[in-house]
Amino acid sequence: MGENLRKYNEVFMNIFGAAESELNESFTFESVHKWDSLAHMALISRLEDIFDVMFETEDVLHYGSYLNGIKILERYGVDMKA
Amino acid sequence: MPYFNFSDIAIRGISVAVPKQVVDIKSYIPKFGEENVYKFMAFTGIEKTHVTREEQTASDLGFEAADRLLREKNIDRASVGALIFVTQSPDYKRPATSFVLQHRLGLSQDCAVFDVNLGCSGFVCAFQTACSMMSSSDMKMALVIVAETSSKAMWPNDKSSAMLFGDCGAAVLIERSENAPQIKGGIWSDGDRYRAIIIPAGGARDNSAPHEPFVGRDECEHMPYYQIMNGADVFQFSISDVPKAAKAFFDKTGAAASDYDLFAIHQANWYIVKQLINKLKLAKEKVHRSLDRYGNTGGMSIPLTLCDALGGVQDSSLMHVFMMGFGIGLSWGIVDAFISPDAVLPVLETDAYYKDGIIDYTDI
Repeated sequence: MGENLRKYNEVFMNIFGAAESELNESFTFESVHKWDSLAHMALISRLEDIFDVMFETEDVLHYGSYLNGIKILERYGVDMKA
Repeated sequence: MPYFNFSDIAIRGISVAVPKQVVDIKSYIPKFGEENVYKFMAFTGIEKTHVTREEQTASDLGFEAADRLLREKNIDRASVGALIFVTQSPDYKRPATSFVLQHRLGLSQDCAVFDVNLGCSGFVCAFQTACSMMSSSDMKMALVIVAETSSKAMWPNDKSSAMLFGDCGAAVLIERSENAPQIKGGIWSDGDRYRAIIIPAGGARDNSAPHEPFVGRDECEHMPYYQIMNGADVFQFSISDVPKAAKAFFDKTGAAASDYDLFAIHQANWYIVKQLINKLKLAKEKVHRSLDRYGNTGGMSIPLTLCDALGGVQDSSLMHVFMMGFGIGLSWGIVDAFISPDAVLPVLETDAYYKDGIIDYTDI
């Protein structure tokens, strides 16, 4: 696992209290009870700080899953394999 | 965009008052849980708010700010030709609270007095209204008072709003001043999104809604007689429409972000302010933050930010200030003005309230 993916997972584990084994395609806004509006904004804010990016409005509003988030970060130039 | 341009008008003074009672956001941990509270603080940047006690109203805060301003600037109250009071928390359903303030401040009958029902854009909109009145009349001075007790309009169990807002009152005095630098402004409105921030019950449209809490789509508990905010819609508005308006304003005026000495941006939450800093390419060190100690104070957050940044600074030079407010309506606006730090008073803390305002109905 690359360093960036490790940092990414840590954010999810801290915000949602999730185990790393839970972080997969099923980890979505709809399926995770703790993923409410407050958690969503805390997640976005934390990811921006850690990866030094600033998401566009559409990406903030549609950052709906663990996997989609990886794709979004890669669009902002974050190498998730690094 | 209605674009405003005012000549020979200057800001004579700015004053704000907040309640003495301070609420530490961490004190919400027993109610909302440690995890939620820390997430909220991380995202919003809010650590404390000032909230009124039961008996203190918005107009009390506005009065204290205005009365101090008139006293400290040695203003002849007979020379104030207009008083505009901006609030969504009036003392009574009728009459408008501006008349109560006119009485308490000892302003003359030769004074145009009315209320404006606006929230977070209230300061920038009312300021331009006052300047417009000055421009087209012979009045010497106009007073804009903006005050709100938002904490009382939030359902205490609504974790999305209960921790967000602080109470405050602000007063700004403008005067006729030959050769003063031009004041510029713009106002935008979108009634299509009137439901985005709303208290749906308790007005004439629906005064019979059940007094029962419900869980909204945002999974927060709400009450129809308290403010309900569609967070996603308001967020999208704040980081899309608002910077777009600012860019249109820069295009219209030919100004650039680098022309300004200070940005007093509505302190909605720090994440939104950070987005605006980034989208408008503002110098971070010129964007003052007050919400960490006062929360989101609505329309007062601009004058509060100015008083927090400049209050007590002995400096008579003029600073070029960019002010931008946005919120309920939806409504947003910009004011570009020059302010002398000498004109700005430090933040006042007060618990004073108007005992004579509690009326014996049988004696009317």
